[in-house]
Amino acid sequence: MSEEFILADNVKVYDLKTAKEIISKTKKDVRSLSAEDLIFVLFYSQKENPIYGRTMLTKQMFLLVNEILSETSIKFQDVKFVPYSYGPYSFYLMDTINHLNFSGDLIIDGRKNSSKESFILTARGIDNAKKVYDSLPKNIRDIISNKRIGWDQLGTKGILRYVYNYYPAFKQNSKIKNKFKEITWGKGKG
Amino acid sequence: MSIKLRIDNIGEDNFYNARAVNLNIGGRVIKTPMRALTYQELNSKADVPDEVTLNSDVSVIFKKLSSTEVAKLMATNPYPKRQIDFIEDYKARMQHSSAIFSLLQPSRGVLTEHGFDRDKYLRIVSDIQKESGLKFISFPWLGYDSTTLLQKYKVFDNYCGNSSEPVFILDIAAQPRELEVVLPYIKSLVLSGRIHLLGILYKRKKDALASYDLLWKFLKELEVGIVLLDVPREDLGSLSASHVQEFVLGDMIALTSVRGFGSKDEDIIKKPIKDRIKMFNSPDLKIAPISKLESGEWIDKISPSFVKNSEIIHALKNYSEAENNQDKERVLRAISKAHEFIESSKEFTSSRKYIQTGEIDYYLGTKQELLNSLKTPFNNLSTAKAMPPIKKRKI
Repeated sequence: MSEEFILADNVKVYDLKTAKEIISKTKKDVRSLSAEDLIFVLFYSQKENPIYGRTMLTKQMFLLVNEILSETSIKFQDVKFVPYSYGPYSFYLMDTINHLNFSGDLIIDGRKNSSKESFILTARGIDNAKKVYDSLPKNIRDIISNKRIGWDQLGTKGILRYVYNYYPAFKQNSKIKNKFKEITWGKGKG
Repeated sequence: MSIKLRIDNIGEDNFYNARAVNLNIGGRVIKTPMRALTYQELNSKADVPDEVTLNSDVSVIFKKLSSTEVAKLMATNPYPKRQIDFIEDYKARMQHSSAIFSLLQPSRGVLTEHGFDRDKYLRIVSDIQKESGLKFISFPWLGYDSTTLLQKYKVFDNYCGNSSEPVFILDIAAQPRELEVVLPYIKSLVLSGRIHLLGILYKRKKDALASYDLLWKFLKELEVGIVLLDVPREDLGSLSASHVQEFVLGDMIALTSVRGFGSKDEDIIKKPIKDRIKMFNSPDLKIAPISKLESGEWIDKISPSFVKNSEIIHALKNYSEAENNQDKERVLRAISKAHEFIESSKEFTSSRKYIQTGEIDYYLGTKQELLNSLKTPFNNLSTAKAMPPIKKRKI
């Protein structure tokens, strides 16, 4: 039988056996997602649809992390986005993309660094991604799946405008930031 | 690509026609009437400071080409290449739709120009679509005489081969005798399972009464999805034209493309911003300028359609800042169009249920302005006498 004490400051104290059970359950429920897992989650959410262009891919990964996962209790690896030539960019993430391509999980097709370069999971990638994706709570899967459609619909220009608008710190090194005028409401004719 | 179509219900009365169709494309079911997504609505979405999703199973890349554009298309290499890039770009953005097709339609004036080479135009736009990797390849309305048109249809069918499916476009403004010649051929392609979609170019009903009558009678029981194209945003009396057309002709309704920065009409540009920006209102299906909306409340009605609605509220509250600021006006127009697409799609979902279950009269009873418009289609609704309401009953 487990014992539980509550201290004056409301901290709960468990016996060793119960504590181990709780820790083991927590580990099982809240899986920490690696960079590879994050890529799998994004692609598997619309597994039959490619993502076109590296800019689109990095911005979708950025939004997945910043607008969905960071709002949940799901743990994930910090892939270290930095302000770069076209806004937020993760060298680590792009390295992982290349590894997944090399391992046969991801197909990269089309002219490199163009908006026609496409990224899509292979059959092997789908198998591997499914395990990660299914480990997420259903409500989170639904949100990611729906957002992925919205992000794809934006096109490269649209997703850049969105990211620059809501994450201005990441556009400071952008080579094209001047193409996206900042629109501020509530300041008269500004 | 496996496509199946089933007609769930047909509803007719003296003043309306409607049908509910179930279209299964590769396992995904499309229920009509519905609103098709256009590339311009996607552009609007990209200008809205939000990440809202515009859901539609049918997407249309429709461009009406002017005389100059048609000339460039036929006489230069970069222009057709630009059209391929354009279609490929939007095809990627529309990839979540089950059916995507493009139409590069010469404007009606071009078709009557002396020396317009229809055959060459058809060859080039067909190749543009094939190069773009589209599964549905459209045959624009080019004003061929009926006998030639039939021959061209057959050649075009062969051109599409097994890798793609033809979508023939008819102009409702054409004389009934011209349409009558090609309809039996279209029917034979439908019955053989060769085509599943048919495009029709919009014209206001009063300008094409006989053709509307002919096409409805011929198509109502035919298992082909009718895509109505080039539909204006507003009909008479500020009613949403797509919601009027739902009860005239069309399973999938796509709005017209307005190129450039809105209208170039000086009178319109001179109007104050509160009269330039219009919003869709589901309850009465009207598209009214901000000046005619109740102050305060209208913003609360629009903002819930968006995810980051505090940003939208902020922009709408400060709409007057767009008076002389084109960037801000572009954002307001984008909010207006994205909001209309979202709310209009929901309205189609609602009306569809009544069409499916044969309760059209009940639905129209809840939409008095639409009912009046259908009963007196040729009057300006602002002066039309209101029709007595249909007795409402619950279903």
